[in-house]
Amino acid sequence: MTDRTNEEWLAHLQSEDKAIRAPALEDLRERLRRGLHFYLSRERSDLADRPHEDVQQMAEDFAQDALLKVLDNLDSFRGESRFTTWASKIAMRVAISELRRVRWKDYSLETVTAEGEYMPRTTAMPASPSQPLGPEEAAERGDVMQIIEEAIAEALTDRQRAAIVASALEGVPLQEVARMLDTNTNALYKLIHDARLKLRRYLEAKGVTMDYVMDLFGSQ
Amino acid sequence: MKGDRGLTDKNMDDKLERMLRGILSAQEDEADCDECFEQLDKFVEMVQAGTDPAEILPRVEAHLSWCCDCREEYQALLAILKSEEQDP
Repeated sequence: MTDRTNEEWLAHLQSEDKAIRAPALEDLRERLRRGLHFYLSRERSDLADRPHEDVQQMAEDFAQDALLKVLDNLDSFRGESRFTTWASKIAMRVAISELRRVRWKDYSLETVTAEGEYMPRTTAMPASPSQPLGPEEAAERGDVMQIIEEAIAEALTDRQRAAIVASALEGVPLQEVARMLDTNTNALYKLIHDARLKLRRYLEAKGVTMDYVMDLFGSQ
Repeated sequence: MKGDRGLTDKNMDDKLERMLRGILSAQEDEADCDECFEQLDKFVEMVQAGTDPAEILPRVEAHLSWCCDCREEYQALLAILKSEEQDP
C-alpha cells in the first residue's frame, strides 16, 4: 500500500484523474477495513462468538460506510494529525455507533431505569472477581449511597434523573440514552453536565467532597 | 435504604467510586462530545508518541475521564494505531 502524505491523500482522493483517484480510494478502503477487522475481531468480546466470515463482512461494510463519510467530510480535515488517523477515527465511530444501536435497539427508558433501583446488582461493568467489604466499609458506602439517591431524587429534573440513572448507573451509552430521550448525543451531554453540576453542589453541601471520596476509597 | 444493593461487592464499590468521581469532577466549563471528537485524532497520536496529552489537551483528557462513549472510541482508535505500528 502506498504511503501518502496528508496532502497527497487529499489531492488523490479528489483528483479528476481516475487513474489517480481509484487507487487512492481502494488503498484507503483497505486500510480502514484492516483497522476495523482488527478492532472487531480482537477488541470486541461481544463479537467473539460470531463466525469469522460475519466479522469479515462487518469490517467490509463498515469500511465502505466510513469511506463515504470520509469523502463527504474531507473539507473538515485540519491536518493536525495523519490523514489515516483522522479517517480511522471516523471509521471507529461508524462501527461503534452501529454496534451500540444494535445492542440497545430493543430497550426503552422504562426497561433500563426501574423506579427506585438506582444501584442494582447486575451492572454493565466487566466482570471481575468480587471481594467482600468489611461491615464498617459497607455501612459507610450505604450512607453515601443514601445521599446520592436523595440528590438524584431532589436536585434533578425528571429528564436529568432518567439520563443520569440510565447512563451513569445502568451503563447505557449516551448515544442510546439520547435516542431513548429523543435528542442527540451532544444535547444529552449538556443535560447530564448540568445534572452533574447540580449533584456536585448537593453532595458537597452534605460533606461528600472529592477529599472525602478519596479518603473513603483510598486515595489514588 | 431500599434493600440490599450488593454493597459488599467490590464491583459495585468501583462503580460507586467512579460515579462519585464523575459527579464531583464536574466543572462549569467542559469539553462536550463534539469538541472531544474533533480533537481525538490529535489526542491519540500524542498518546501514541508518548507525549502527555493532558498538558496540551486537558479538556479532552477531562472529558475522556468521565464520558464512556468517547472513551470507548478513544480506546478503539488507540488500539488500531498500535496494531498498525506493529504490523504496517
